[in-house]
Amino acid sequence: MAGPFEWLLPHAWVVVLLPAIGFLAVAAAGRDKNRRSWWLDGGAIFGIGTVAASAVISFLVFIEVWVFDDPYISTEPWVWMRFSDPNFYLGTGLHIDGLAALLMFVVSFLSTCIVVYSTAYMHEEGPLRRYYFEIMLFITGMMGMVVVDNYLFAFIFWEMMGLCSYLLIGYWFQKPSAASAAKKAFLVTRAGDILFLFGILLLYSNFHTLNYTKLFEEITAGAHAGTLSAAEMGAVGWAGLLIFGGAVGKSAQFPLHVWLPDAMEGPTTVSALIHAATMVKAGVYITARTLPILVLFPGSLAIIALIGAITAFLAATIALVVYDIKRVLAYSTISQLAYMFIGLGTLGVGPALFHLINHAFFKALLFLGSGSVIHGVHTQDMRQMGGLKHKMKWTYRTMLVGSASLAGFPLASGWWSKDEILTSAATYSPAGGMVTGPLGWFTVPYAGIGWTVFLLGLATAGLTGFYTFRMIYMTFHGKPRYDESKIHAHESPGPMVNVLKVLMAFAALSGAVTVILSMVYPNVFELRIVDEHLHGLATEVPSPLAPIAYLSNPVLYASTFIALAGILIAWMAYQKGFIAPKNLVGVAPDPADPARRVGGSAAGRALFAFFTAKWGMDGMFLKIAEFGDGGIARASDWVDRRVVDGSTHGLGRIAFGGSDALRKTADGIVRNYTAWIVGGLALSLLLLKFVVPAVAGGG
Amino acid sequence: MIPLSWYLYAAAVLFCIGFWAVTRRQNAIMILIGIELMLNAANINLVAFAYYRGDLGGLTFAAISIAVAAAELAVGLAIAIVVFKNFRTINTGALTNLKG
Repeated sequence: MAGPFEWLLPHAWVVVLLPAIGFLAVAAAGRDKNRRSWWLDGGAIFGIGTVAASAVISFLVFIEVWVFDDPYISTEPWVWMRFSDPNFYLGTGLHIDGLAALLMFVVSFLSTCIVVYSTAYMHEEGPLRRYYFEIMLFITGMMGMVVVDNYLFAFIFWEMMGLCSYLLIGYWFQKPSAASAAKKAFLVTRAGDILFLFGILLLYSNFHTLNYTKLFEEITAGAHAGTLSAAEMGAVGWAGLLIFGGAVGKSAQFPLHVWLPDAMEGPTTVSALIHAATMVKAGVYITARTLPILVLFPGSLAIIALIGAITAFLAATIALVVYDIKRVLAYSTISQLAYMFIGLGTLGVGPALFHLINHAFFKALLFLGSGSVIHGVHTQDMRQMGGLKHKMKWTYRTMLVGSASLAGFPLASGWWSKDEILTSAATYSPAGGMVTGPLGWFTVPYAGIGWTVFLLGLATAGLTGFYTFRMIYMTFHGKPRYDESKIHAHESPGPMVNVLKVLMAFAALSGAVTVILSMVYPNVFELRIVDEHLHGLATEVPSPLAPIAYLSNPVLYASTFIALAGILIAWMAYQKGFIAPKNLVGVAPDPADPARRVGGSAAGRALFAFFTAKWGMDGMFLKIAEFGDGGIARASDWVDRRVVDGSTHGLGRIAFGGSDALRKTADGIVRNYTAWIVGGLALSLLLLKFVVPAVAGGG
Repeated sequence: MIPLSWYLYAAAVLFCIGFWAVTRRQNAIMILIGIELMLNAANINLVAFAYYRGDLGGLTFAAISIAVAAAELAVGLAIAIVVFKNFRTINTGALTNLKG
């Protein structure tokens, strides 16, 4: 069905071009030194202008695709490089279906908000031109990755985002911790990217195309007709898992989640934009994109769901004991992204993407709110905050809305989507009830996996409620724990607060509006987002459209109850003091080392230390790195010492030894020299007489 | 008539005596004498072959060789004198400054 903005769709590449122009304009015209205006310094105005224009166009495209159900998939690609084989080209067309349009809108909108917020937040922080330059390049990469129609270009833009993530985490590269966090993020995500690349190569070598539409049609048709060979099916299965491996790196899932908390070394705006709202969603996007392949292998889906469940629980437990406000949010980001993977792994594609939008809004809001708090009290440690409720009214209100949403407070946006994801986890079961792992290594009943995924997801809902409100109470309630004579906490300047208010509106309403939208357009998520190859496979989730079915869903009550219980415990522990946390986990005499505690119960202390040590994951990676890298280093050292140095030293030793032996003959006694001469002459004559004729062969 | 081989044997004996003197004696003068003996052994060969072949080429070579030997002996004796002035000895066994 054609809508009023149909003419716009073939030109939708403009949404990528505009940030690219902004990026070039910032590079060309941005100036660091000019400290007169927030809007001009560092070329911010070019960034805001182009991103805002891109956001407007994206919104029109979104309306066209979603409201008028008019997806656009270009038939003729724009070709960058052509090779002798006509099927082999480097180039891309546009692939704007519901999934892409949704991401386009969310990314460009949040980017606009955050660039505006940055004008105030970043003003005194550092070189602005470099900041906007990198932010604009990032937005270009993200928008590009969303609209392209093949894996190769998606990968190119994907790497572009990886580069910008590295640059922006290391924005304060003079700080050793920031430089090392940037390196860590780059290397860890690179591990995933290698897998992604191998997946792409595997698909290309088997099907000679990377175009989404052609690839999925060929594979789906071949798999259903049974015309694909066993080797090709194996390649598809592995390619799906490898591409998911790329998503594991980018979206910080277990076991590659370790980079995201450290990425908080970057400016808060960067954390909000890249490490909460957009870039980390790229993994969810590419997995959702790849679902038509993954769905052929229930074992792959089970792995995705299981990894999601483990990550969700692990990250939530770590968030319980973290004192850095940004790290609480970072772990909650990992945990919430994991929910989306649970959704995808149980074929709740609609719920997963619904949660993606909600999370993008409320997490951007929470991060920007925490940025405002940090701006006010100049610390990230929640133990040195408290009582900010009255000093930063709007920051408090906006963050409260974001937290309610994150914690799954009834009717807040996160509540709708989290319940749907959990419902999907509870109801999904693959055909036959058995799943087979990759290469057919094992076949197990799905029920055990399904229950594990569902129960871990449910437990995470409670933990989320607890740590979210622990953050709120520690930051805004109680008595100030900072030195009030030195730090004058104050509300943040205009652009920051205004952006917070806008985001608060979106975070508060994104859930309800989407639900209302789905009443006007029944099953809008399922129909717009779910790839046509998946229609009929994706789990039907109860929607508020059918109130009876919705309200008779036991999962809804279970998850709401558990989330509320978590909030209640946080309230009792940190607001009212009914439960003193120190009775359980003791107190840390040295605030810099919270893992060393006295008092409390032994089990509580042990759990606290375990969570603070991040389940030993970082330490384990260090051990692996030391084992692997150390082994390689020792081997290289051995080769260097023994082979390289050995050969040069050996040559030297041969020369010295030889000359030592030879100099004995130069004894300075003339008659011995004579003897050598005559002996040499005699030997030469003998050679001439006997050996030379023999060698020359009688000639 | 004396056969050619007798001359060659005599020359060979003379050469060996000269070679023995050059390699075994330490006195520079004796070494020079040894060299003279070896040269003259070669001269005897040249003259003997010239006589038996009946041409004068060998005799010419012998004459040139004697002249060169005289010149060489002059240089050799001069070196011996300089060595004696510097080291108060012409014993080549003691002159080992070039020992490596």
